[in-house]
Amino acid sequence: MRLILLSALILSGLGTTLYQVKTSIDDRQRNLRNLKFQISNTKRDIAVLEAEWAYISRPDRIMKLSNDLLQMTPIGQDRILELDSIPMRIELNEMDLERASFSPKKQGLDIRVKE
Amino acid sequence: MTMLLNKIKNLILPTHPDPAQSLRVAEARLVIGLFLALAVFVSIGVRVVELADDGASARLASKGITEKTKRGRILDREGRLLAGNLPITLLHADPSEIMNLNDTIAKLAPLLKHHDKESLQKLLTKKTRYVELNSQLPPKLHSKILHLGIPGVYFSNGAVRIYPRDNAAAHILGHVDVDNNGIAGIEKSMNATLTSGVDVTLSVDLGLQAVVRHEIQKQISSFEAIGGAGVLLDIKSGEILAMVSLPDFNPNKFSLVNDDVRFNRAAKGLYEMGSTFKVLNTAIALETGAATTSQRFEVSKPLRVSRFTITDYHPRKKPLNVPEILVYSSNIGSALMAESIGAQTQRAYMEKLGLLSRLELEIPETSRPLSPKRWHRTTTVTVSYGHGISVSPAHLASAIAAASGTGQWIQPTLLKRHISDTPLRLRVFSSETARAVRSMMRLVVSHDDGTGNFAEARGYMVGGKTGTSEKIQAGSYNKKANIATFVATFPVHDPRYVLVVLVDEPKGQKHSYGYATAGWVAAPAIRRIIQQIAPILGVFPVDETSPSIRQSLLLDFTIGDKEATLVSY
Repeated sequence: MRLILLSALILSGLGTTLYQVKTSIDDRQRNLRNLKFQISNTKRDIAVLEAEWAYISRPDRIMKLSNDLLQMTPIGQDRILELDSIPMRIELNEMDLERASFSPKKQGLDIRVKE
Repeated sequence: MTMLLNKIKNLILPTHPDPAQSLRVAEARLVIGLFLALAVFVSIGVRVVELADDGASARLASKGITEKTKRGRILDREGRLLAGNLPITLLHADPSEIMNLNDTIAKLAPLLKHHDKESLQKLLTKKTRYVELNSQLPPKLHSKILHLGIPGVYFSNGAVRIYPRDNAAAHILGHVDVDNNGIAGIEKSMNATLTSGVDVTLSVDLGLQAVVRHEIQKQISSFEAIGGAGVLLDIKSGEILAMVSLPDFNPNKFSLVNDDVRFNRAAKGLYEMGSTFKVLNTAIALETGAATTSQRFEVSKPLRVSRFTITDYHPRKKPLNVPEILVYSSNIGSALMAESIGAQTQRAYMEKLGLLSRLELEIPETSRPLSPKRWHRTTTVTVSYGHGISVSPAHLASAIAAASGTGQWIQPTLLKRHISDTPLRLRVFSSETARAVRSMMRLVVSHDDGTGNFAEARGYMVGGKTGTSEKIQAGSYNKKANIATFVATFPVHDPRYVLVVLVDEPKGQKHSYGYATAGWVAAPAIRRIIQQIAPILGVFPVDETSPSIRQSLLLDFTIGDKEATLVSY
């Protein structure tokens, strides 16, 4: 009688575990399917956005926009300097009067640095 | 536990039936029976819901499967998208699952553009399990049909090939047919790679490509030309950074485009390149020792070679040295140099420079150059100034890169090269020869008497050569139809890029004083292109008079009466 009872208990325990494993697997599978679906949806969205971005950043359009709105022209050769050719900043106390009177604007210089 | 079970057992199946307890026994039996029945019904109900949901979620999940077989994308060298896939919704139906045919037709017919009631009737009564109703369903229509909830009508994900940059690299990319198989350009030649879902990265840079295209287009419009081509080649790696053929087309509307527009003038078009070949002629002469830089040739009288008479555009009275022959673009001088090179040697060099065979590019649209089968004396002479041999602009770019760059001919490519790649390299000229050649090319642009002054982009050390040739039409030269070519190497003190610009049949204009020569048509495009692309390429403008620049060039040339010092450049 005792043996039967014990085995019945073990059996029911096994059954419960099996049931729980099965449902958790079902859950996980559902979760996996959802994730896969989400991934493929996101990929789709990325592909659409990528195409959209590529289309609105096509050179024709950018050239037209920059022409119409920015009036940009190619950088003149005299407006590009190498970084090394620019003198280091001078400390104020070291500056003599002559240097202090120097300002790029006064000298009519327009210096742009190309990185 | 046992006691509880025994109690229940005694309750519903008493060992000693007691009439007084019979009502309670009956009630207990009823309650238990009820619970059992309830459990059965609940489990059936749960299973029904589960089954119904199972099908739907499986179908939703299967949507993702098509992603795996997606065609690879085509990217430029910086990873910018040139050809991709746009997801679309496909509407299809399973005729066997349709419950109410008339209702389905009545609902769908007004929504579908390509179908009316009759055609739908035909489709939906077919004895198959799959009929396609619409291959590109817009999102709005998708949601409308979804809301109608018609059984047997399904949606699935498809993809359509798109070229988001429109015309920018049309001839390089090519196109696919309805089954997504490449039928032209990279799409065709790299079809196997692309079909397996792998992306292809080109050597082309979209920004550079756009600048080259834009500037050549400008010249075509301003000189009423019928077309043009441009090639920008990296001398050191052999990578083609831009390749333009005009007129071009929008690859998204490939089927509407005629053959002339589809024709790739940069890789497949063959043209007599005219005087640009004098650069090669000079290089061969210096390399073989047939001439030295200071050697002079008598050019004052027209040269007779069998039945041809060779004349100069601007005849000179004094004998010219080699740099002068290039700077003044003397046909007679070039012919004399070629004669001292000799036919067989010249032919061998042309072969080494790849000008006698098809250019192995990664697109199917390439051509075998037109060259004479037998290399006569007249051939030798005419080839020296770019006549009697027709090559593509891409051919010219790779040959000039060898003659004015490192002296090596490098197999050009349209695919991005990595540092570890070892492309085919052939030593054709010594680096000394190449240095002399590009120093002379610099004079063509910088010297006051040079033919390429309009190509001068100050600070970027442009060297080049003009070439204007008459087109061959119906077997003879047409004096009215020109090909204007300019080939440039820059910066000449540290050669990195070769740029070829070709304009097909430009017409003389008021603003060019009636001229339609390369110096007027192609050279300004070279200047504007280099001014715009040099900052992109990281080419710094330099001071030409600085000693370090002077050291890198050969300067002991005499042009006219004066020595060609850099101040006169």
